[in-house]
Amino acid sequence: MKENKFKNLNLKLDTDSSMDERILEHFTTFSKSTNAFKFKKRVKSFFIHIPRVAVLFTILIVCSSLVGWAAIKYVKTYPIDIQIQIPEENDNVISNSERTRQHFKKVEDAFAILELPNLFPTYVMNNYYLNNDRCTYMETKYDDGSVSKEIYASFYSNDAQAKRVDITFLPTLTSQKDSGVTMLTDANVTTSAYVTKSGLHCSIAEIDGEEDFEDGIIAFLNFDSETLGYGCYSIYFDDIEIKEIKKILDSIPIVEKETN
Amino acid sequence: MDYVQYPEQWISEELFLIKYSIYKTMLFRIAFSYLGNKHDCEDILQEAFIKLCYHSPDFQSDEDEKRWVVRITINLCKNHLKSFWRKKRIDTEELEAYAYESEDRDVLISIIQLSPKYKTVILLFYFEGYKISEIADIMKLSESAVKMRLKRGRELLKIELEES
Repeated sequence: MKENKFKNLNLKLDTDSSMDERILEHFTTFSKSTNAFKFKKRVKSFFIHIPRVAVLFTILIVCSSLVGWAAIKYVKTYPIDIQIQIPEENDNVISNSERTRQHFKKVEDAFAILELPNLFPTYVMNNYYLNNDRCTYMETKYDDGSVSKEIYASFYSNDAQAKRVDITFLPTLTSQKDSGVTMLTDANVTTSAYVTKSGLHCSIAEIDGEEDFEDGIIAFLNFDSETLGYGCYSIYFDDIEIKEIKKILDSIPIVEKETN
Repeated sequence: MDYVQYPEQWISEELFLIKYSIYKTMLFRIAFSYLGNKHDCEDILQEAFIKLCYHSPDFQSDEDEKRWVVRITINLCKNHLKSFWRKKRIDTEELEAYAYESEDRDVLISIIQLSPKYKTVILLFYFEGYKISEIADIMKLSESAVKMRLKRGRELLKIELEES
């Protein structure tokens, strides 16, 4: 193609009116201090008005539910072999696929589609906020009839550091035993293994790119479970120390099943 | 938790709307060439404007601000690609909505497929009209590095230089 023709390509790359509305609405409803203040006031008044008996009853129900969920969420995890490959210069895959997305303000609602409880790390749920109030469930149907599903969301820390965690959860149809990960990157990558407090085998890749913004740490975890099915996590940490990363991984709400 | 802490800086809705109208098309174009779908582009644009409105430094000029927001958007796209670690698949149906002719669509696919290091230079040079020296400043590279990446990007896209 001649250079002039390339320069004058007729592309309609622009936002549409519905996207503009959503982005503008997101900003125009911001309130610097009232949002935080309103939330704190709302929580406080809620607990004042609940009768004591109802509180005790609620606590008993929640505790028994937690015990029930803990019993269900046993998994088997495996050490993951991470392979690093230098990407080809044209590496994106173009395919005829049909992709649908559903966005949820609550992570639990995204997992409900898969009939699963919220399997995101509880440390992130308790100490970070959901970016753009959006957790996405995405389904991709390929030409060969296969379907992939995933739940993903970004979280930011509630402090000036704005640390970020991006979590992807992918249920799979087959066992994750002997399943590895291939990373396509020309950055320097150091891999290590970490076993969480609940016995889960994680693999960690520390990326050292040419420039600061290319650095980061990604943790991978694959599991098989009689109750949850098969699945994998990919969790990216931006500007978070390894100590806190381990706390986050320790809080993934599944437990390694001990085998005899 | 469902609340956020905002820094002291705050801008008026009117000023935000002005900045949004100035930059939205340019940033969408950049984001789409990296991510290939409008849903992820929307997330990137939201983040980029949050950073512009609340976390940006003091700018000496409008051009200074523009270069900053371009760089931030590129970084956000690269981080997005890196963090959601899956093979990137581009929906061909979406691409058809953004290119009038099939030949243009094929070129758009080629641009999306390019490695980020060449894609950035191609985008900034051909679609945003930046000079080599300006691209070097945005990407924190030497001018010779920018020229090499531009040359390689042209080769991969099969762009034939016009005879002067």
